[in-house]
Amino acid sequence: MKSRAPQPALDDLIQLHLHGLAGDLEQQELGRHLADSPRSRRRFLDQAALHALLAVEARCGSFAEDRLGFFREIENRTLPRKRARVHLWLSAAASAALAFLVIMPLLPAPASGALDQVISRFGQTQDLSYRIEVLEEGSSANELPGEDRGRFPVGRHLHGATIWIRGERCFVLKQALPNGETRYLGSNGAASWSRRGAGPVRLSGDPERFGGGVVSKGRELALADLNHQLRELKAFYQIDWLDRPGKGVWKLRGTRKSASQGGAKDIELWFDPEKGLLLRMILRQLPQAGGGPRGIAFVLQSTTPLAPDFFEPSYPRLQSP
Amino acid sequence: MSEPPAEPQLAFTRLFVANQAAFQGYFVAITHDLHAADDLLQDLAGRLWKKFGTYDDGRPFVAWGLGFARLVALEWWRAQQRKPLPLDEETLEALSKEALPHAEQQDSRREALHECMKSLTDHQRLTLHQRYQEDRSVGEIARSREVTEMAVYKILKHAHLSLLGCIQKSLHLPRP
Repeated sequence: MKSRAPQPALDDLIQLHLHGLAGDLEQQELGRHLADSPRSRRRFLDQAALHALLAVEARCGSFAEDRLGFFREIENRTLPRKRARVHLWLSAAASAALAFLVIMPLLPAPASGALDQVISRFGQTQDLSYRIEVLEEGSSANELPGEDRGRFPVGRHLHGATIWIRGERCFVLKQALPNGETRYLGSNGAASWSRRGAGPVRLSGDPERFGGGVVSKGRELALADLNHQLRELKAFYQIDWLDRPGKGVWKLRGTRKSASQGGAKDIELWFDPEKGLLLRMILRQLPQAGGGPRGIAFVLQSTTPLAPDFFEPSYPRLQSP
Repeated sequence: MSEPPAEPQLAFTRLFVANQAAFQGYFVAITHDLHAADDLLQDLAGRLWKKFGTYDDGRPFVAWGLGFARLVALEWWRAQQRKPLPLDEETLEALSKEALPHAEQQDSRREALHECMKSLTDHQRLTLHQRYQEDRSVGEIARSREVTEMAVYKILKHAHLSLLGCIQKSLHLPRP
């Protein structure tokens, strides 16, 4: 049998490893190569150096078809955020999630490594659902007046609700209303929709229209363009360990530094470093200017993949709580 | 601890930015992970700034900074419960030492890369964009194109190896 040339085999091991595709056996073999041969180490360093350079080039838009468009898109991405109402309560929730992302690099190394997992869970295509528990109701006197609040403002009926999330922009919120009906509202990223009981589905081409300022706006604020948000939020929370990191769940506490910034005054985050999952997020002393609860918890319920069209308004849903 | 006056801040920023590619290249060489390298780069910036008062400007900043980068990277490695690769201490030390001169060449590699990228095919360019700019995994790219991971991997591998060959040729570096 013709034996394979050693160099291609090594290149494959290196490339598989750098692209996250190497299994244990391949990693062991690569480890042996690096231990045995300075030449293999040089080859590895050459390819790792290129890997790093390609990442830098990508950030400069070097692989974009339209490089000017690439920068224009980045520039435009930050504009809506400046106009947005950052004080609303669920933007605080999202801010808390991001504060969590922000502080992870500042923590000891295992937490820093886990940051990648959290980002990938939140920012990519992973389906997650959280049960919402209202810990402390806010005052209805603070509710924002205006359109679409209707008989049952979204922020008033959140205890026991469920929120499903996919990627940065898709969500569905399910609420049980006091009249026995179930309300769903959601966004597929391009449009938003709402349906109460057996009523018609209301559609809007604005992905923030339904639940805007409560769910979608807050989430978009926090989860689209992480880099910008991370820089902005980095300064706003003092983060301490509730539990020292070890095996099992890590617990962190964040305290907002300045009253002039929006967001919960106090946040608590439970994180599973093994799975890279945010298990629980507790927000206390939420701003009350826009109504909604004063204290709220998001408890991870499921990571089961949902149907591809789950976030579409046409997806069939049960109409009982 | 009081901060140094404003002028050193400017000098530090200039030096750090000018040598950032070397530090990042070094961290990727040790962590094999772009995100971890970003974290370590931030950590390093903080540490270097704190020690900037002791920096002797008769010495290349990159050499001074890489000395700290080595400590930061080794600390990171030793703190990982799951190591990026099963390497013993001796190999890790050898790799980290050999990565230092390598990192110092990062700027010239980057210049050569700019030229070499012109030879990429559209397909390779798009795949590199998705992998590095959109930060998507090979699996995610494969799913979005409805192809196998191996198909995407092969495109990336060929792009990498052709760029690497081109860089080595233009810098007259020894080729395997």
